[in-house]
Amino acid sequence: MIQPLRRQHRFMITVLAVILVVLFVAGLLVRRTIPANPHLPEAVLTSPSVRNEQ
Amino acid sequence: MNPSEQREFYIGYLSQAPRGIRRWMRAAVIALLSLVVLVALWVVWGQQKFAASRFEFGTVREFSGVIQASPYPVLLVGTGADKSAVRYTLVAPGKHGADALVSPFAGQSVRLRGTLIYRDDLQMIEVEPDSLQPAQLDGRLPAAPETLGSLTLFGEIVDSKCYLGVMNPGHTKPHRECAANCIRGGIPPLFVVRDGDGKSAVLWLTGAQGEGFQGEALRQLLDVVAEPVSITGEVSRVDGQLFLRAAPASIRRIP
Amino acid sequence: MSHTYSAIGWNRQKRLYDGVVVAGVILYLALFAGVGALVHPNATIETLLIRGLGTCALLLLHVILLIGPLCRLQPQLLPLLYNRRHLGVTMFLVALAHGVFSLIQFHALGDLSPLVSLFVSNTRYDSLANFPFQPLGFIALLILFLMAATSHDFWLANLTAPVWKRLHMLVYVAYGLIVAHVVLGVLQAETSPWLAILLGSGLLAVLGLHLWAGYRERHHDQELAAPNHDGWVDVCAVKDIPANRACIATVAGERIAVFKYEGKVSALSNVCQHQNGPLGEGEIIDGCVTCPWHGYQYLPDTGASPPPFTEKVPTFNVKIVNERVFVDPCPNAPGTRVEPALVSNE
Repeated sequence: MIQPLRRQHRFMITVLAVILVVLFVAGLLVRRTIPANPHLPEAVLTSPSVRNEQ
Repeated sequence: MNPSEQREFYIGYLSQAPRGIRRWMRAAVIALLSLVVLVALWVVWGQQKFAASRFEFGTVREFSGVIQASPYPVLLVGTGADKSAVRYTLVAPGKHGADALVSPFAGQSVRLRGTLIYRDDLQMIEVEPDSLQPAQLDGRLPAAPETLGSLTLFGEIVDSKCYLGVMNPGHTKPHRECAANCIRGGIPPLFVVRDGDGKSAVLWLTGAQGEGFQGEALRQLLDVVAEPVSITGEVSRVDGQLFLRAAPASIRRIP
Repeated sequence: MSHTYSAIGWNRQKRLYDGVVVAGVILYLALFAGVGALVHPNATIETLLIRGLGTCALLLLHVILLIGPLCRLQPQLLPLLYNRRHLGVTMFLVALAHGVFSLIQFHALGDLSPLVSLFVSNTRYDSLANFPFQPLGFIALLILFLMAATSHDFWLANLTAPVWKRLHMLVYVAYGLIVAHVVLGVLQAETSPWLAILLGSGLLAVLGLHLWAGYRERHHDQELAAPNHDGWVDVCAVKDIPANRACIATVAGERIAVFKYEGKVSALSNVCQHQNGPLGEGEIIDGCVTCPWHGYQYLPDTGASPPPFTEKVPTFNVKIVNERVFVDPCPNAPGTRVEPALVSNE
């Protein structure tokens, strides 16, 4: 009948709520951008293939 | 439950819904379509800027110049009296390098057809496989590399074909699997670095002896594409393009 | 209701529903690709398509998941539930297009077969930031396929509603995998807080409304007092049941619907045989208990659908003592006729 299904549904939503909130927050916290080089040497910066991205 | 409460009852297979429910549905449809517009525009504006890179898909041009086969296939096209050459890195269609296509013509003058790929001053040709023909030209030999010294740089390893224009964006995590496929297939790897002021530079990445990546070295390289890494190696410049020679062991993940 | 199966039993409401769904999908994709190409002239059409289809499917999935709890909280929205399966199949098709385009873009024309490449081109299962997010989307797509393929009433009837509903509860697994696919995939590179806020709002809405609707339901499932000495359970007062409607009570661990109609009271299972909808939230229409979800009908005294239909639900013996309704908690076999209790003063 319906009650075992309702219990499974409740269990699933509860587990999903915990896992997804943790995963969402953790996923955003581990994001990393590629670090910039503090001082790129002049020789590298003066090459023609260098571009200003901003 | 209030026994005197009047309520409407919806039955889907009847052709007309009760009046109050029709009003609710009109409101729901307007709300949903507004959500569609809002989310579409929200995501469009939330995306990062796309780089000015191009793949002239569908436009085939003819080129002639001298083939340099290693470390990565290049077509050197002389520019008249000027001593310098324009370097077109060559790749094959799909996620494949052009090594096998150009090896019979190493050091020779050729004509070929292909599609241009370019970003900033870097240019690349996706070569039509059967189009390479020997040609009688004023051959131009590759310029001697100018050594810029040993450096440790932070950046991301990408495949040059996608990064220069075939895909946009052709770098970072969502593109990782594709970059691995391309580099595995022989597309030359590039190392993309930025400085604190938002200037970026790209360096062609080779092994410590200036060779392409094969076997175990390739496997190690594929393991770190599209991740933040530091590489220590020898930087040099040829025809204005930067090269970084580095042993695979000197490529380290930035924790 | 039908007693034979056709591909789709079309009716006017379904056509209206599907028309709105298709218009919504086209509107989304046209806006995304059109405005996207204007705002980002350097973007390639492949990227716009992959992102447009992916986000469209994600939006559809959120709408699908919100319909259930919204209808519990606001029954006037039940028409949204009536044809939800078509929304699900549409969502699968849009997600499939996203998956196929992505597989071609990122994995085709290389040294490896695309489906092999999908699983071996990134092996950083040890890192959250670098975790292979594409297989997560692939597994979710397999689940969505299974659900779309079994969405027809043919499967619902042959698998039986409880099995079918368990199978279709996999949508929550698919939702979890898709959220992980997005958070560990594109959101690792697209760092605009607006995109994270958008997904976070969707997540909050889906989880929050489900938890709220579940919280509101909890009193329904509280067991009534134990049966008295002769085994009958006092369910409610006769006057508490609205005319042609029901009072729902949980007896012996299951929900029972006690209907009052034409001066009589009958008790039957609250669970519709079709998709296990809540019969007790329905009404007596044309002398039949009518399910609020898809309009399946049962005679209140027998629990059987009127011919030619064959659906049957269990009935319960019922009696009225001192204006209170008593139910025997032992169910009768589905379709067993039970003499209705007569209401004395109505």
